[in-house]
Amino acid sequence: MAGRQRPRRLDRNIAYFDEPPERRPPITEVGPVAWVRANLFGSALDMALTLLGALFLIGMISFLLTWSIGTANWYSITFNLRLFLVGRVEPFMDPRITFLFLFIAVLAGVNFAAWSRIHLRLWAILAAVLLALFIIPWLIAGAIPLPLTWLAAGQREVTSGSITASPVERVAFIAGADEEIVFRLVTPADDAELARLNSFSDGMSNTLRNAAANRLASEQRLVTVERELAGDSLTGRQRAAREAELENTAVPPPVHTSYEVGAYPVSLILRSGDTDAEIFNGTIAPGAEMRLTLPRDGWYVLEKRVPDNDDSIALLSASGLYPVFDRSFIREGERVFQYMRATDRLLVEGGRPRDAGGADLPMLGIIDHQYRGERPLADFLSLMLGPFLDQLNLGLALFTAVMAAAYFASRWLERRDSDQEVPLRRLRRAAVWLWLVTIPLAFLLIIGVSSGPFLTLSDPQLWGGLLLTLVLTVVALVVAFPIGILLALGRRSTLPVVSAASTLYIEVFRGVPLITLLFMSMLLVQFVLPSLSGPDNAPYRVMVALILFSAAYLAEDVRGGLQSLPTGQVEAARALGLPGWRITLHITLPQALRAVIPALVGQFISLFKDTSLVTIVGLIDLTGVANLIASQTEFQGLRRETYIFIAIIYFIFSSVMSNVSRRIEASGSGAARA
Amino acid sequence: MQDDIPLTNLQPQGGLLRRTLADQRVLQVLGQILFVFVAVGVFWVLGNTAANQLRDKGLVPTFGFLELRSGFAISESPDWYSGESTYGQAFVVGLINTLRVVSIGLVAASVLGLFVGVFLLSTNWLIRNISRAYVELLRNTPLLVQIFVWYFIVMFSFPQIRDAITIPAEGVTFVSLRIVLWALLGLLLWRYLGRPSVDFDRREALRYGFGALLLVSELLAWGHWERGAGWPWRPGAGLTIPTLALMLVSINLFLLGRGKLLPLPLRPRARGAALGALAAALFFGYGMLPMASLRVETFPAFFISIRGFVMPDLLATGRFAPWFAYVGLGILIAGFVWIWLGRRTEDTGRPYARGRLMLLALLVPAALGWVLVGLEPPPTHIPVEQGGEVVLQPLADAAEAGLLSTEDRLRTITQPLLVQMPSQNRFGRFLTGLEFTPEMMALLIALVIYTSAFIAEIVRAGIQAVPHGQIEAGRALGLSQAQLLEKIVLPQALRVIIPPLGNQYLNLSKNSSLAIGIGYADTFTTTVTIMNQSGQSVTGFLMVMVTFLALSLLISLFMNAVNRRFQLVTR
Repeated sequence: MAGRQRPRRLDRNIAYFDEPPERRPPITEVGPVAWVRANLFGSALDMALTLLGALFLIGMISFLLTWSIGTANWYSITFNLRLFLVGRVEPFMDPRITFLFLFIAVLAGVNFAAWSRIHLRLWAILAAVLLALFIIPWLIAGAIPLPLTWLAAGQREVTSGSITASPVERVAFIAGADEEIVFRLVTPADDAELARLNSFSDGMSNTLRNAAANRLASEQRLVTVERELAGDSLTGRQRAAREAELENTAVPPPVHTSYEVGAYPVSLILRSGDTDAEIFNGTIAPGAEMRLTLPRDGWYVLEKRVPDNDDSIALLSASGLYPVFDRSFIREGERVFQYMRATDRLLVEGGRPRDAGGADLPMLGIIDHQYRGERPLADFLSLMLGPFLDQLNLGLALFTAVMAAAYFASRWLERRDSDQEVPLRRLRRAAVWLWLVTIPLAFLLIIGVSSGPFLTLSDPQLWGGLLLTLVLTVVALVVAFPIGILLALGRRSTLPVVSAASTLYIEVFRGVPLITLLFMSMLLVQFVLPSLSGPDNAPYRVMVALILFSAAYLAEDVRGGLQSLPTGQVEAARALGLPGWRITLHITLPQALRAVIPALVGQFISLFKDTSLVTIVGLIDLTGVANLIASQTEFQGLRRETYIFIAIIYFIFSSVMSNVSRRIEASGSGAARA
Repeated sequence: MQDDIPLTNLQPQGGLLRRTLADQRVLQVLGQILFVFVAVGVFWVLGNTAANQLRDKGLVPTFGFLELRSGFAISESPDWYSGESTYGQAFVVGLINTLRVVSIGLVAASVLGLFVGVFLLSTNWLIRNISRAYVELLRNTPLLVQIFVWYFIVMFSFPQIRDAITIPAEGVTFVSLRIVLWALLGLLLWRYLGRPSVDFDRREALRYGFGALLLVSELLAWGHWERGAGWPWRPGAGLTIPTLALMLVSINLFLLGRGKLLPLPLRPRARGAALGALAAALFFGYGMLPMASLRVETFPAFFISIRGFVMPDLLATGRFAPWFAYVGLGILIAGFVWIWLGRRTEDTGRPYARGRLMLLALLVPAALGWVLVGLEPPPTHIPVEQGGEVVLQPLADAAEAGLLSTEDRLRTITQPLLVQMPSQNRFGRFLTGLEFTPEMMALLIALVIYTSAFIAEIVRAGIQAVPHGQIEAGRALGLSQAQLLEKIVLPQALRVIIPPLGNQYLNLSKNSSLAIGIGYADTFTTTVTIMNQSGQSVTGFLMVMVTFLALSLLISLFMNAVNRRFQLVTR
């Protein structure tokens, strides 16, 4: 382009008109890109923070997911759900607590109708969620088969580390009528395959699995050590330690060859657990499978042997044989033994099968027969999630249904005569009355009234779990409330003695940790009030401490409400000639109490959390249940699962309550009316 | 208006008694006397029952038992306490342990809470929501459950003491010398680019040039490291295939930057990047790029295991006292400088760099003291025990043979302070180092994290309470972000923050008594043990209550003083 040729020297310093001004294209200012730019990558610091935050979050979530799906033992929750909810209360309490539960649903429905609106969309979402709670377990049960069980047959002892598993020829299990058991012979090709046999397994096959996994790990470790020694990334101390390690470790021979794990014909005999009659007798050959159908619910005994080879071990996979929980308790003066299948809660009562000598036969107990190794997602769904939702769905559905019914019924009643002066007035009155009825009703139902069949007195020692937590919280709040009002009035009183006494009480009880008061109630209340001594009365003694404690805090809340009132209110009342107590009763208190509703809800939340301290003085509230379960033999040390579960329960309750409090505050119904 | 009522009607009528009874003042006095009677009566009845019961059981409250032998060991106690000590001493140990947790906890919770509170207001969506989840999760679960989680789950999941987690991990790291070079170059460039006189073209050229230099050099070094030091990748091999290719590319890129093909803002960048890459290729080709790296051996300083945390201990040696005198002198001078310069500023209106000068006045005597104290030579010989008898050995020999005890080292070392690294015996027991039991760590971490969630909310509310106009006005005056925070936002936010913060401090100190849930020997735990052994529950509870009330009072007094100061400053 000859026309556009210019002298080179000038090129840098002269702006030409034919060259349009060049600017960066404008940054997108709408849409997701702009949102991300503004909220995540605004500056260099922002970018670093975002990356760090994302890494933290991803790490956290993936850790929690892999742990809860792969390794966590959620049986500690699904098997103790009742303990978590109501503790060890007597069985006759069940209908009473159910009734109370549904009554609270009615209360919730009426209150929602009176004070807020639940949109139809929200009801639809709730219904969908509940439906999902029914459908998901059903889908899981239909689509995902339960995991297999590994059984070893043979006459050799198997050793892994310090653990030696002895052969078990006869093993007892429980199963239901018309169930089918399928046996197959498994031949692991090498140790790696043996180490991957993750599922329910008996002692021998589990020890084989562990031995193989340990052998692979030590092999791997030696490779690592050799590679480290070859490089120059070790300090002198480390090098010496590694060399010693290399010298002292010997990798054992492959497990599957040294124990001759393979496919040998296995003779199987199935007997009835009660009569010892033979149901089936046969031999399973490698490659074949064997299906047996069981006649009835109850105990069975399986005998397995590798007939003509004492040194070899055969591995069997079985479907339909699952581990069993055993419980024993006293019912009407007699000890009852209960056995429950872990996978579907099939229950068998009565004695276990015994051998000829009268000793209990080994059974597929949950302790020796747990799920071993990392769990795949499918097994998590079929073993843990499905059964858990199955237990939860009915209660939640009932609660929601009753709440919805109460909600729509009260709205319909309200709309039927819409000619009220103040809309919703009658409904709101009804809602308040319902509250006033609920609390005594709850106490009546929980405590009981007589020793006869009607509303039998329940044993307070057996209250526990969420029930005890809620009882303690509600009692402490309800009883402490009037005391708190009196204390607040006393502290504001012009009478110096009354004011000083109230102030002293409030400051002392607020300055001392609750746990001190709880211990005091356990150790000292019995001296002051001998009628409250003894272990039966422990919940009542704790209540005394909680009441005294929360009265001081409530007094400060109420005092705050009283102070928030404009002085004109009292002055006007005085000008009208009202006597002092009537001013308090009719003018100041009602307004002050309305103003402190959010603070009261806050107090309820903190008291709800603080009741966990009663665990330390030996009561079995929600936190105590978590500790109790971790001390059961089947769930020894499973504190992660239980603590996470109760933390979720506490979290749900507290955050729902704080949401309510926030809504009350936002709606302004708490504010004093000037 | 009812002004026809005669005033006389309002006067009390009737006889003296009736008139007296109708007088409100008399009624009030009578009422209070009645109140006292009832209260005293109730207390007397209850107290009498209790006293009788206690007497029947032989548990009359006294303080005499504090002199008795306690007979129990406390895992976390100073040297002077053992099972032979008295109950009173055990109580003091508990008190010390409470104070340890509370004092560390208050500081840590405030710092953490401040950070989370600021994060709650971050413009970064992710950070804001993570901190919101943090606060909600911690506020809505009971502290006791959190303590249990920290103790039974986190502390118990740490490895055995043999395989303790070590920070830094023992091993070897290679620090490339180039990193030092890049850091220096980067710093210089950053300082230069901060000047306002640097125009767009030069700034962009330098930035991209530095980036290209760094990137290409590292790529070449990586190639050298990955492929071995064979011909084309050997540093200093002159013009090899990779360097030649790079030079060709960069020359073309430079020409592109000179031409008009690229959009205007990209041209200086292309030129800079080309020069940077060219320099990298030449440096590499002619062996001017440092390829060596330092081999650094790291040894553990912090040990985390199921038996607790161990960290280096800071010990005061025999020369600490004279050195501390110098430090004290420095503090005096610094205080004087601070006050005097403040007065000067008030008198003359001239601003002084008060903070820097004060720091200088603090540091110079301290450093001088450190040197002066170290001038006196250590003893040449030291008595050490060898084969059952004490012999004098040259100090250096004894140190080499590892015969010096900690006391010997503290006596002979010439520095005023000694950082003692943790060391283990053959069985993993720690001989030196500062040890924290898992109980204390669990309690401390749980208390700090729980309280930090509440403090974060308080900080957030405090900062939000500052009207936004204030911040905008500060910006309009040209204040920097730091000045804005220091002079505008914080003073006003602190006024709102301090009163509820005091409440949280009180809560933390009271919540520390939950130590009993995991068996940390704080005031309450030791007192419960004492009460169980001696049966003196009334006295024990009295002591605990008085202790906690005193602690609360102390914190309240402190917070009130702080509060007064901030209210005065701002009004």
